[in-house]
Amino acid sequence: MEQPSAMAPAPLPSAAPASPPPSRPSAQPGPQPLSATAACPPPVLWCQNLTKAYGGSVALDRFSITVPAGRIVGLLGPNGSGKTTLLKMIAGVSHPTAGDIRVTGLPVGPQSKAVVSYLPERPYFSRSMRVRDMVAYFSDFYADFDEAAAHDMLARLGVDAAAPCSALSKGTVEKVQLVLVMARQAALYLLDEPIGGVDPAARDYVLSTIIKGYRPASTIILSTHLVRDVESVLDDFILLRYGTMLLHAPVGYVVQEKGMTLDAYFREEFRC
Amino acid sequence: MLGKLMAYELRALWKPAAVMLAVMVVAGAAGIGCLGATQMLSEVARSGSGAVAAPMSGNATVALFMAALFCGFLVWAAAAALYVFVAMRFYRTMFTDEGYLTLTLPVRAGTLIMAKFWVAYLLLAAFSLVALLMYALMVLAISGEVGAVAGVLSIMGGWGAFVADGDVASVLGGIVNTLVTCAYALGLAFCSLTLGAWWARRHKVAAAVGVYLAAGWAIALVFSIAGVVVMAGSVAYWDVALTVVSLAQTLANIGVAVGGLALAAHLVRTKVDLG
Repeated sequence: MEQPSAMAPAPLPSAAPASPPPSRPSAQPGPQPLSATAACPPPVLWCQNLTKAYGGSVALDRFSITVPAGRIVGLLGPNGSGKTTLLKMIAGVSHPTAGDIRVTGLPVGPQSKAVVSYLPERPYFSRSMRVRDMVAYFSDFYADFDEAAAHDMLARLGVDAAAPCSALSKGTVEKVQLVLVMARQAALYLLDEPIGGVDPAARDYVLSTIIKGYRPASTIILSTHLVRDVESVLDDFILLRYGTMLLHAPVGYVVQEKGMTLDAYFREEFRC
Repeated sequence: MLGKLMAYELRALWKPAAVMLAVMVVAGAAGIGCLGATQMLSEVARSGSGAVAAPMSGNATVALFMAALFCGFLVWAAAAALYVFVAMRFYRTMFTDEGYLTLTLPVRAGTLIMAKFWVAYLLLAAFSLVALLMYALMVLAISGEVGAVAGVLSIMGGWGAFVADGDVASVLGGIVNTLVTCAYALGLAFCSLTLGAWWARRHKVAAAVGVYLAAGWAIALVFSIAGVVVMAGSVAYWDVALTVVSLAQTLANIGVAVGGLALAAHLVRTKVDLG
């Protein structure tokens, strides 16, 4: 098996996206410095030697990365590679064993949670609430939540806002959760398997929703196994295996250096 | 944020709480009715209306008394059910999948826990006082002194031991003790559930129940021993010693509640991982 050309922590070989989706503004090129200055805002995400161990098992091992604003980053890796663990720690629902995380220069806490919009891989709705209650809930607690945009997206999806959450199908729950997450004007979006549970026909809608949520000031990190489906929307990707970062590079890097698509590269790298 | 969180908590709890309150009031009223009827039958039997009436009224009295006991149990069970319900809701919204919604809110862990605590506490305290009132009225239905406010208050001075002497201090002491016990029970429950969620890899709820029981028994044991030691050494000042022990236990219960909530908030902020 071919070894990756850049081991963690890897600099971006080329920060300019190879083929940015035509429907969104151009991404801000190049990695940002780690420290904040008056002229240079802190990176949207900065992790240093981030480690998570469960007993003797290391889920994430000395993970370091700097992600500037304006990127759509794919978090790729096989099952058990540490993708969900990483996103959970950034979101603040899991705690690092060692290392440090900064989101827009802030340590993980109430202030960072105010600028992070997290879509977990699990449904988190209360069964006693209705969809409109969830929208009101987000509107109450997140200052950056656009309630009108959420209702608009729900209407386009054909979701009845009066429907109880307990009556929604699994796929509809995922769509509603995505709508709630993307209706925020957050600095960092963390999407854990956003297209994993929806049917292929709905994936285009989900991806277009993600792209519409893109703003030059924000960064989207999405984890998935379905590399082919997301490849066209990604600027960069992070490759994880057994909790270790193999590569962090623009998608164009694989195309130019390896002469293959990201999906093909992923399959070759993680062939069983 | 605390107000918003409390509003959502109350919105989630008011319906089941209303059902349990209805059960409590209906059961209490039925119990009062049963005991009142028992009293009437006893008077009929005493009035000597013949050899036939006495055994019949005796059987009916036993049946009514058993029914009243069952109603009394229902009153207690309704309050206990609310306690279990709020504890389960705390666990579900904090440490299961719903925790992904709760723990990503831009609020401090302490604020989250205090919002849940205050709403649960207000409901539980209200339920406990209503339950006490029901028991007091049941007892008064037997003694035939319904309407005697002083009597009602005197009985509210103790949870199950209807032996209060009726003075204002014991009444107030009993109410304060009830309110503090509610805080203690919730603080211990929230802390145990958080410890279980943090410490156990599997069977987290069972672990939490184990922590709850062990901690509860340990606290009770410590205070029983301390109480016996203090009382044994203060035979000459029995009343003073009793007051001191009671006061110390009340303060300790407050300490357990505050410490439990603080520990829960600390663990949520720094240790607990969602599965």
